[in-house]
Amino acid sequence: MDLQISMKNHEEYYLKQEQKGDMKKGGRKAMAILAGKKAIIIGDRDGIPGPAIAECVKSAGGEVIFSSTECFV
Amino acid sequence: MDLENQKRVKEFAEEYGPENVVVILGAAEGEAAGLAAETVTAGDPTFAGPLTGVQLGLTTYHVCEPEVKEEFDEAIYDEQVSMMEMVLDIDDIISEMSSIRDEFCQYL
Repeated sequence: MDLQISMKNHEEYYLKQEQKGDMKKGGRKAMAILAGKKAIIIGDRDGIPGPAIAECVKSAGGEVIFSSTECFV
Repeated sequence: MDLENQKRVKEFAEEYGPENVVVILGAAEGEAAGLAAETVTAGDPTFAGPLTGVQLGLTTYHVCEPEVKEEFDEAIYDEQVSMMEMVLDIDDIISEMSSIRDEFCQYL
């Protein structure tokens, strides 16, 4: 019974943290992949071009140090 | 990966430290994404460029993978990437990228 109550509290805690944006689903602590990092962008002419990726990376707080668009033709 | 790009990746990893560098790819297919990811983590698999035998172990993601996608500004992602995302085989890309990351990335 006690264990059930404890598990319920645990779930509620993680749910609250997820809603606050502090935790990812499953209770893993949210760690930024891009914020504060130097980003090298290798785009693809047939896929997503470099400048489009660069805009997204900047919006996530990453610093773009190199951007290129490759072409496999 | 382009030989010139391999040279630049190597120089940047040395300059800023491999733990501070993230490589974001925009390849159209899972196989191409996997090859590029392997090049910047385990070394050039074609044995042609400056990264041959150089295991940088850099953190690398494809721009459409959910882990990085959730960090982008939604409006900017929609404007810049979502149109192309619709024609890509995202499941194939995710599967290739995650297997390379699990095996070779040293800074996750």
